[in-house]
Amino acid sequence: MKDLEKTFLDSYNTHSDQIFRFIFFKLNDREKAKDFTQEVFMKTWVYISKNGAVENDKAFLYKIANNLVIDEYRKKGRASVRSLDELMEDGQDFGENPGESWIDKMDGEGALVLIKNLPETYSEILFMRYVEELGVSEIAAITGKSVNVISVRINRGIKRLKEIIKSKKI
Amino acid sequence: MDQEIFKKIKKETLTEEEKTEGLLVLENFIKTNPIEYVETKNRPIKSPYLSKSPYFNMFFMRQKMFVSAGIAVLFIFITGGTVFAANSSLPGDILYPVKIHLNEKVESLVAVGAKAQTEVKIKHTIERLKEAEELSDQNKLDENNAPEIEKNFSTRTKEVSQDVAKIKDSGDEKSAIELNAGLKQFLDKHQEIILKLGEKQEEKEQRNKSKEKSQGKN
Repeated sequence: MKDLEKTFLDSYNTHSDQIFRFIFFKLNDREKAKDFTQEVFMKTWVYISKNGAVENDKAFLYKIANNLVIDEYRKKGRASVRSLDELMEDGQDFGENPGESWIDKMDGEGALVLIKNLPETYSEILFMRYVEELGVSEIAAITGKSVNVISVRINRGIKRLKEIIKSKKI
Repeated sequence: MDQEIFKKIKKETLTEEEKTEGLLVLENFIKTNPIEYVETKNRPIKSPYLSKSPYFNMFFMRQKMFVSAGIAVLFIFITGGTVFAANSSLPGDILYPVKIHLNEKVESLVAVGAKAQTEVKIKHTIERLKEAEELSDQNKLDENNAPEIEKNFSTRTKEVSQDVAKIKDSGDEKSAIELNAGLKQFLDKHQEIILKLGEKQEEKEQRNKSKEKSQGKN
């Protein structure tokens, strides 16, 4: 029994940052993301305490996080996404100095806004793939889509992102 | 370039303090919600087939049996009726395909032995001619249905002749002679309708030829 507890607490140490980032990415609210991360782990423990260890704890945690986010969307609607122009107005400098990329000057939040300006079908999957470093099959399991669909969306998402980067450079 | 963007997002994490606090909260939560799960690996699992549902009642079971039996009887009644009605159908009727493709095929399958099978084929050949006579009596035999009947009749006659030859080759000459005699007698009896079918077929061919000629002139 102690093994289950230990494995679970280890899983918090390993995955809490990823789950936090995932929720932060979805809700645009750091404090809420922190609370929700805690809730995800509590709900997971309730499940484990009744049914035993889960096979893929990472995918399980994401699934619960995703459900919590969906519930929040239902209650309060989707968080509004700031545009890149708004970000510039707020003082985000997109690098006009020669030899300096505007991406270099961008902070974490700026990068997040950039990704979120992509259509949601792409942004969410790119986030999972490149930020959370989830495998294609893991993303498929979390989102309930096929592996093929995920692969296509990753490619198209990257293409769109490159187009945005190119347009802002000019 | 795009990889840098993702690296920047990755830097967004919980702080060390936030993580430690979260871990403490979780440890307390585990204490207040201890494990209820018991390993069932070595415990025998009761088969669901052995347990009786609380909703099980013999009365409903009996009703179900009655309903199933009723459906079966209805099915036999309907299909049996269809098969029977199809036997007297003529070319052009809705049930005619049932007669040709179901009733007669079943009859052929049921017949055991080369002689019996050939007899069934002869019976079907006779049936084609009877159908033609019936249509002729009703003034319904025309150049549209006659060629079809003629074709069916010719195919059947050919098959019968081949079968008879095979029976003769196998050494059963007596059966072959009997079958041949039966077929000949029958064909003589229905010669009139055979000629009529031939005439209709010819009429159609001539009409087609003259149509082609007139189209060629235009």
